[in-house]
Amino acid sequence: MTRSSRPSGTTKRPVAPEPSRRSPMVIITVAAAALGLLAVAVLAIAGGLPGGSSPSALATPVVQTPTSLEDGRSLGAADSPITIDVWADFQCPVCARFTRDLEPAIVSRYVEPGLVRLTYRDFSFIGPESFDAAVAARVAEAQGASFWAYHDLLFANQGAENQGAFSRDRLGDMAVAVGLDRQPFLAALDDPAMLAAVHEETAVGQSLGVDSTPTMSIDGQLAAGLPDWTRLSAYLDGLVAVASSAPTGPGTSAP
Amino acid sequence: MTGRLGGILTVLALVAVAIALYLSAVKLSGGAPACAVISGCETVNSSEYSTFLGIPVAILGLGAAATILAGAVLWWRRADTRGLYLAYAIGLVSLPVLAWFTYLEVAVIHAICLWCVAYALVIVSGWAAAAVALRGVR
Repeated sequence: MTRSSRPSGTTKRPVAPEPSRRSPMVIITVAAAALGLLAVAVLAIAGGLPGGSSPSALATPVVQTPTSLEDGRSLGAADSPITIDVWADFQCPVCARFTRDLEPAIVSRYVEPGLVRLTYRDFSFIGPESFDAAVAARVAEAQGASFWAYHDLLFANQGAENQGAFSRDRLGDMAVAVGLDRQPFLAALDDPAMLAAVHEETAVGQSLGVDSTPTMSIDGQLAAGLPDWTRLSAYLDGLVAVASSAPTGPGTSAP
Repeated sequence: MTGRLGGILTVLALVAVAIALYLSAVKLSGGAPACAVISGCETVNSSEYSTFLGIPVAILGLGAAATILAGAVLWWRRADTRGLYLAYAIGLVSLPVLAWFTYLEVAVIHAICLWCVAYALVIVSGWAAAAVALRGVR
């Protein structure tokens, strides 16, 4: 292979353009952008296009609180040695997990034997539907339904925050599901005293130091978040042991 | 050329890996521990969009960030342009995906996870740094 020399003095022929070689940058850019858009298309199709998941039929609670233990917004005997206040927001998904995963264990191990009295407390902060739901639960109780049955329905039917999961229609559906008449229930939702009570209780929670949900107040000791069951049960077992060994009188301090 | 931009890209990728690690740990441990007043992560993290085909999205984000980190280190420490191309490409693939998830947070889930937003900003910045660096390579 020798390079042929061009005779001198001849006119220069125009050089034919070389076949275009795309730069790797262009190829990578086009390929990566296409791959990204393809990924979005797959995500949209696999995850379901938004807008198709509007609240419709009510979901049945996976776990239903035993209403035989119910005493208003409390569960368990009034003279139980240990009290647990659960500060929660009906729109809080972690509170829903607390209700589904942890509360049944607390109820069966401590409330049913008369060791713990558990009380639901409103700490409504996520938005308007938090207050609507809290008012609705109070109205349900005031009209003779089970607060806890309504409470379970609310947590089982959470949706996107303040997007209609707890609209008046849905709250009315839940009222019917717990055996109430829709129209009187809906009318009572406008009772300003009910809303004021929710605001007042939330303010009490703030004054106690509650700043997230769920927060348990166990004999006055705050425990924020969703605790590990092993640690929580060990803590409660300790309180039970102290309570059962202590003579009647002043309360014991938490470990 | 690889010095300053390589360092910036590597640090950004490290931050993205750290955020994705945290979000993955939260997801794998069962979710955020509480609904706090200043947070929407628990809502985003418990939404139906937080997994894809059973895989937590945070894990996918961790994979992307780790790949960008590998590319950034390859370019920064060994001046291997393949690493830079890799970081650029993964960043570019991530852009529409991040835009999609941000749209879901704003328009569908109606909750903003600040950690997710921070991750998106870091990835976008890393991609921009890689794009600037590639201008000097060509």
